[in-house]
Amino acid sequence: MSTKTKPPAKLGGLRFKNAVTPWLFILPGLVFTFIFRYYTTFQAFWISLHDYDVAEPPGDFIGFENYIALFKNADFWSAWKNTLIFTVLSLLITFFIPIIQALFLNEVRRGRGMFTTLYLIPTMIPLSINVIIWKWIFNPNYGLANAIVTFFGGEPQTWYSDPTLTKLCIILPGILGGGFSVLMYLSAIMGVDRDIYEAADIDGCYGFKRLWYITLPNIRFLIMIQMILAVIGAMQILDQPLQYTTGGPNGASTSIALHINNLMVENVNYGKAAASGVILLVVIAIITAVEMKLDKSEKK
Amino acid sequence: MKRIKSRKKFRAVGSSRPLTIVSYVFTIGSILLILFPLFLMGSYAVRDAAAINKFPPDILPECTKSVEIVLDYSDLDTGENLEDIMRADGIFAMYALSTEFNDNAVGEIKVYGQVDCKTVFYQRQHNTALQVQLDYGAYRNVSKFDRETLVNSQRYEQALEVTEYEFDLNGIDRKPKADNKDLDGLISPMTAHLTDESNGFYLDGAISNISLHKNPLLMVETFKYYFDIVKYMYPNEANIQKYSLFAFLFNTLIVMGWAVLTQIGLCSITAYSLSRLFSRRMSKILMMFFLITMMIPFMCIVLPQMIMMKGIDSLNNYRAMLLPYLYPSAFYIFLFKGFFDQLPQDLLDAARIDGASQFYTFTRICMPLSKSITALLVLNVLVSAWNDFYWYLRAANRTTLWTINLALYNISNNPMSKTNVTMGIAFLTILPVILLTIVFQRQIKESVISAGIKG
Repeated sequence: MSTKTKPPAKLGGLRFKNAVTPWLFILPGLVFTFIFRYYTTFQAFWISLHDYDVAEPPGDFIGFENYIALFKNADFWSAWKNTLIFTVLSLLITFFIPIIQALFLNEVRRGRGMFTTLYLIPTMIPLSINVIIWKWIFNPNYGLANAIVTFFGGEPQTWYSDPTLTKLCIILPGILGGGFSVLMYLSAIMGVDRDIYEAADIDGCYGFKRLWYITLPNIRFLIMIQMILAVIGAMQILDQPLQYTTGGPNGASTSIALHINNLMVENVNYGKAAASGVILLVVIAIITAVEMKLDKSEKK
Repeated sequence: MKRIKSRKKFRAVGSSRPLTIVSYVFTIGSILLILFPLFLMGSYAVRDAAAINKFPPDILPECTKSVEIVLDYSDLDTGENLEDIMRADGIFAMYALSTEFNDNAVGEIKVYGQVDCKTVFYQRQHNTALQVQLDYGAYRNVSKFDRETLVNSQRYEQALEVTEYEFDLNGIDRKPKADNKDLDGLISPMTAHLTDESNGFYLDGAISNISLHKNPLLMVETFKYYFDIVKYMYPNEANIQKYSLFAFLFNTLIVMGWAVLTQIGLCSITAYSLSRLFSRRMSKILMMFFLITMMIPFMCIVLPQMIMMKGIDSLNNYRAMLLPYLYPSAFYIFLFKGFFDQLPQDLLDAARIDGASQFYTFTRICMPLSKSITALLVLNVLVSAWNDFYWYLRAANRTTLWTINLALYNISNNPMSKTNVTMGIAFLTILPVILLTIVFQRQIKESVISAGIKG
């Protein structure tokens, strides 16, 4: 209404304003996203094509030689193998725990608020603090883990210094569960329609049966999303191996992200570091695309 | 029919008694498991450095003891020098006992000086305070703790500076218990150690009494010294000297505050324009532009980002820590947009017709309606900034810039730090956070639940 009564000379200005405002709103976000993600990704690709020289960036152009050299490198492949094992382990050990915790937490009536808060504690503990305590629990000489193992008649282990056990020990602290995901699942479970429960109850589906046949299928969407995020997160696992073992013993716990870090910091080979970063990007993009496809076809 | 009715009385819809029992047991069990490592950390923190190295390890620490030594100077006629002699005796007795009995859970050592059954001198130190001096302070790098090294050197002056005592020839208002109470048969080895003259251990006063008492409160007092220990670890950093652990907390708070400001501000305004201002087609294209960035692993861009930061002289300073937060997380934009889409358009239109600008509508109408999602995302941003690690390690790894996470990583990797000390510092930093979580539990829970993420 108001625009119609205005004189035509001003109408043009208003139309211009209406067209520009959305862009003004989104501009900072667009610009910073471009600078901090798109430009840097392009830079990473550009650096990966060079024998990078810190003194005279970007150095000699060598095409895809960095990539070829990486594919011939045994450390690179063992880092990928470790990453794969990390991903499988963290899906097996840590992914389902918060779902189970949320399922049972939803059945708890008294003191649910307090339990919910206590479940948040693992999120509040920085990794470095976790590392301090778990490294001591897995200490080969004085740790609790060996005390338990010897109590049951086993042989004492060296845990983080054992190439076969080290990956398991890095993932294992996550078995305690908790964290934000419990709250996420809980709120999804609480959002399930009560009518469905009542209908199922009349049909004799209650208790554990109801958890399995009604509640779980109803939060499948969130589980799927969390699984995608968990896989993407596990592929990039960096802080845990870096802090627990710095990739040792002998590279047995070096994930691909840590391998990139080593190329960058220890070898100061920026070209190769950027190249493996780009490879990681491509792999994650493929995994995401496949997972989304699977998710879509399942919905149909 | 009757049977079903009576059964329904006892259970909520869809529930059953075994399920309820299992739920309680499982939930309480999980919580206890989550708390157990923290408890273990606290338990290790209050032990002696030597007591930690025990196998199999004890879950509970040994109760700390208070050692009381009464020295008698009645036979000594030195007059004015009495104060110096007593001070030296006190320092020697405390450090000699602390080094020799370092796995007997000695919590504190009190030294009383008496003349004719009148207390004229009193000195008291917590064992952890003594250990700090032995590891980082006055008696750093000393291996032999006889009277000569402890008292007749420059280090002695340094030790005196941090030791408080009371002295008055007319008597002071302190009375030793002196009840000869013994724990673990420690009195005779302690007496023997302090008077072992063949190895250079002697006291000027005569030991008239040593007694030991249990005092669990001394374990709590330990943390007071853990708080100050950082000052000794980094003696050249002015702000750590002044604020100790709070220096790291300050850095963490700056980062957290900035992260909330930029992330919530940028993400919400971006999501608002995507949700309300653009045409559906344009909005979809732009959303893809943001969502694609979720796939880019941080390791891929960390190197170019570092080179970029170096280019604008922003490495190893606060800019390096703060600038990357300007990138609005696509995930938050996605969540904000999902919430804004559900807001009634009529409300926003009404404001527009009344002549409100788009910005006014956004800040005054849209955001107040989105308190729950904002609270959830604020919580999320705070936690992720609190846990952020790798970027700071590479781009801002300086003692003055350390966040708590980075500080603890560096302290625990420092070969100088003892395990009980690192655990003590870690416990000190995590305890307030857990308390805060419990204090704000209602707000936290409500923000997550009411944000309504549906399956």
